[in-house]
Amino acid sequence: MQSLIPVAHPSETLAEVRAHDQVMRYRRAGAGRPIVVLRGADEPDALWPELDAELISRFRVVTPALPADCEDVAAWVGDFLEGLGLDRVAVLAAEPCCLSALELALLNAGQVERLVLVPAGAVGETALDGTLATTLAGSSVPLIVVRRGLPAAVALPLLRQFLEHEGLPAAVG
Amino acid sequence: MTSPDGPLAAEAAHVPVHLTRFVGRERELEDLAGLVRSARLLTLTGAGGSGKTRLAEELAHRCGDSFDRVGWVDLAPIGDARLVAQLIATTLHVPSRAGTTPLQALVGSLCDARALIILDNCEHLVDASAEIVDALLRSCPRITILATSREALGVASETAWLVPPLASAEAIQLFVERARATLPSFTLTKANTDAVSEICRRLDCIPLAIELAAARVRVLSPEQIARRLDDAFRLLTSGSRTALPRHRTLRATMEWSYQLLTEREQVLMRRLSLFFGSFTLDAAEAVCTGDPLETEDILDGVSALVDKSIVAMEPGDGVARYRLLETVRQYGLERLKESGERPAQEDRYVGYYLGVIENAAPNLVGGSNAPTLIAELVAEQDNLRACSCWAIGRDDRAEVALRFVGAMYWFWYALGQFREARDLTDRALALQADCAPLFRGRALVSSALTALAQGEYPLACRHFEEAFPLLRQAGDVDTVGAALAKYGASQLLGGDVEAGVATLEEALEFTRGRPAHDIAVIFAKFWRAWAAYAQGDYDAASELLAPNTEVGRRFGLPTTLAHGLVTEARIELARGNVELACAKVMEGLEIELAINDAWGIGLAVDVVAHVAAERKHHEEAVRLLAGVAAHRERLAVALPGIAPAERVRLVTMLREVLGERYAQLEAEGRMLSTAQVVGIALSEAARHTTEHRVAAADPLAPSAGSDGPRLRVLALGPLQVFVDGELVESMAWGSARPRELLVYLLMHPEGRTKEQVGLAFWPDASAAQLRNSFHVTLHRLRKALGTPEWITLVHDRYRVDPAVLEEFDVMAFERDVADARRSLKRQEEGASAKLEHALARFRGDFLDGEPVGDWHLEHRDRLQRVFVDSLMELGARLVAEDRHAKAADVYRRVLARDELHEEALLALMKAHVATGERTQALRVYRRFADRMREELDAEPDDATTEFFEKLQAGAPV
Repeated sequence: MQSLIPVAHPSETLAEVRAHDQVMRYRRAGAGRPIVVLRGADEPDALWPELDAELISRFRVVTPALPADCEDVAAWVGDFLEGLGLDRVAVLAAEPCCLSALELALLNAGQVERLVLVPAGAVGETALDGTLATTLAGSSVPLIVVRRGLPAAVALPLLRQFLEHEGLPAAVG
Repeated sequence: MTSPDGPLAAEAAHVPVHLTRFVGRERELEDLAGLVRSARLLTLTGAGGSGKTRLAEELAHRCGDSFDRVGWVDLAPIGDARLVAQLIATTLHVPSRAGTTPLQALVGSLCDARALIILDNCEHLVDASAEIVDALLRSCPRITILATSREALGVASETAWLVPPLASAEAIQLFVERARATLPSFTLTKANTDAVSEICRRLDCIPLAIELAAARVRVLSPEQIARRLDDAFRLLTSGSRTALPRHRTLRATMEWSYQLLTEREQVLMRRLSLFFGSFTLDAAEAVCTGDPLETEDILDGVSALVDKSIVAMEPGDGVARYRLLETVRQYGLERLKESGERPAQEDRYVGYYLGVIENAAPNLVGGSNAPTLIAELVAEQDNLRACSCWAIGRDDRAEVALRFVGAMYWFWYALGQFREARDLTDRALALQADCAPLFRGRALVSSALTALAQGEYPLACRHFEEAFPLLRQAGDVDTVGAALAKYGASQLLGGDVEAGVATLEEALEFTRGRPAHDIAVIFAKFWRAWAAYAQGDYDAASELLAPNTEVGRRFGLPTTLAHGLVTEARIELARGNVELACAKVMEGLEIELAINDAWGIGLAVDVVAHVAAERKHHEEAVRLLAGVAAHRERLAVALPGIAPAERVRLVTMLREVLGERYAQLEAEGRMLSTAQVVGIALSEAARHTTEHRVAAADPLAPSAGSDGPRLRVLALGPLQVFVDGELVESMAWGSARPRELLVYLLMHPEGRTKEQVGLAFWPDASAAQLRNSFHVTLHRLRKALGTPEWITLVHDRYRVDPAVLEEFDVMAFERDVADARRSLKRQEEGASAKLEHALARFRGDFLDGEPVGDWHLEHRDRLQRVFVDSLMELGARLVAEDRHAKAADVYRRVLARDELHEEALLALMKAHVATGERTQALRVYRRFADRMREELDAEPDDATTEFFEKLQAGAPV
């Protein structure tokens, strides 16, 4: 099918989800295991420009259009994921969504399968990884923090390795 | 056969119906109905068990009227993304032209249609579904697609709609309804309302979770259920106060429900989850038996799982079918995988269905029971498809794959699924298999037969030629024999008449000496007749066909008879005998319809079109020709086009006569469904046929079986059942209920519905329990008898096939006694002996000593009354014949059954007096009077007492 390229300004989104009395919009591109990308509508440089093509070649990339006036982003994304039926999904969050993504992983334990955080700032040259323990029995979320300041040539291979690690189950089938 | 997959059901990819009632959701349904009318793609999302499918069904029922066409496609049974478009096309009976992909065919068929297509269970094939949906929406501007999927498809213009939990009141209502299915006496009381609402709250009002919990009310009180759920969920949240995330609730409930099963039930549930679609108890026994489960455990286990809402029973009659809800099945599969049993179980599962199709294969074509067999296989279609695809998808099971396609051709033929036949056969043959020549040969024959049906004659010839040496090498003479004629047909229809005739002669020679009803003989004669027809030798053609129609009638072979008749009709048409042709084709067409033979229907309608033209019904002729062409395309088959010149002449004539109307009529005809085309054909054919109809009272009645009746049941006294002279031992019955069912059905030779049986056997059971108990009992009965067909189902009524019944003593007793009493009344010679003989059948009370339900009391009393009354008549007769000693015996027998029968007492006393035994008469009176005082606290009648007193006084009587 024709790929829909995710855009930084997904106002012209084509698909919608109705859940919990809200209408939510998103774009989708590529095919394969899903990954949800959270980014601010007004932050076009929050991610590496090369990342889109990299992700689309490997994943079904879902980019929700966060409402401008959203007060509780974590809850909104939780509802969005539920409405789309994405369970145990990889989430990649750039500023200003990093904290909300962390909260989401704790709040909706099990819904987030692994988490990539890309905080802003050029400070630091390394990436950190680890796991986030949740209250759901036996549930922990692998986590990697890669600073936006890292050059794409360093950051992208790290992300690829993290995302393609075993254990991302395809949708039940 | 009236399968929903048959060619006549072109529009009928039915929206499913259910045994349980749909609860609540009014507000949502209103919103959704609006969306269905405005959105192009509406996807109902939500976790498994949230009720997506049920909601979609309800929605389709409500909105269906706004569309010209509604098609329901369940994607759950397929695991292969490549089959999605194929399955949709097959289910919707979409026309296709050679060289088009299924997707192109779908687009072609739906481009102008105002259709609602429901794609159920897309989640495991999201990418493939999205691709097809996207293409359909772009190219078919008037269709609406309603999908259910755990995950949204993510297609442009999609509205994904998260199915919300039930409202609290609806959830409670659902709990109560489902609880009642398990425990009919369950009601919501002041005492349990809190617990029930707590359960619903705990379970986030998710329908399936509530059903699973409600199913436990027979054993646990609502309070206990609430408490246990609480404990189970607390474990999952590490004891924290945080609620379990909503999307985990169902999983947790399933886990809870699974843990409550016994270990054996867990094993059974895991193994059952391999079945795609539904399954029978026989299949479950074959696939799931194995450490720790014995065959006997399966029946009880399935029943237990039905009680616990893990397994659902399918609506419908006949052999009971069960299924696991998709969500439950997925869970079971996970547990099966975990247990390490999956590979071995898969082999058993696939092996079982391979056995099913291979056993059926030789009888699927030509035989008189072929329609029944095919109807049975239709129910197994999901499993057969899953198993064949499984094998085709694995290099290490290539031989199994080839065996499947080698055995499935006539099944595909019967369902008109030539496209699927082509696809699966090609894929199986492409596997690099180190395989026995027999199986490769048979698969090649399937491929060649498909090619023949689809008009790809060169391919058909090539594959026949490749198959023959392999089959000969393997010694499979039967397959070669039957295939030779088809090879000849392929040559013939491919245009090489000479080679075709030579091969068909070889086929006739090859089958010489075989009986006329042998399928190889039938094929050879049929196609040799076509060749003769093609060569204009109508006499030879008729002569060749005559034996086929004759064996078709004699042995009740519907396909053979119908194809023979339709071909004879063609020949008569060529001879100019229009009315005779019409009579023959009418008879043929009616049979084709009865067995739903799509290919044959096309063949017949084509002849009717010619008949219509000959009768100058030109408009009908054009509509029929166009309609049959569209029907052929829907099936992706070719009809033998032997006389193209004849057709060209016909079309030219019709164009000339009709002028501009021709194109319009043709377009009208192409829009007709197969059922409509057949309707026109039937009324055309019926116009003239009454006087020409070929005489045959019941053309399909098979000649009486040579076996004769085999079942003998004695129910007057202790119950005894004999099959082929052998007593069926009590072990074989499992319990008394199946025996009881047998007698109950025998007592109602006109048949009994499931509900009637239920009322007699399980008066207190819920509808769901009744269905389950009934089918379990029926299954056991059929097993004990060893021949399932002995219990037949006709028009919703179950009965014992009267043809197999050698003796049922109750029936014989009533008949013989009535007969003898008539003789007695007419004072016929030997009447008393006759009656005595009839009464000897009464070995004791009806079902004496059997633990049976109250239904039998009425019969027991009636039969006893008949027995006693007859004895009294016999006694009177003996007295009239001055055979007093014998009469005394008879009266004693009455008193033995009914010791307070006063009339018998008086008669007995008189008989004793007549034989000079006055003391004996006095003794019986005294004994009687004592019993009477004891039992009834009463005295004998005055007349009796008076007689006694006279006797005692020594007075003359």
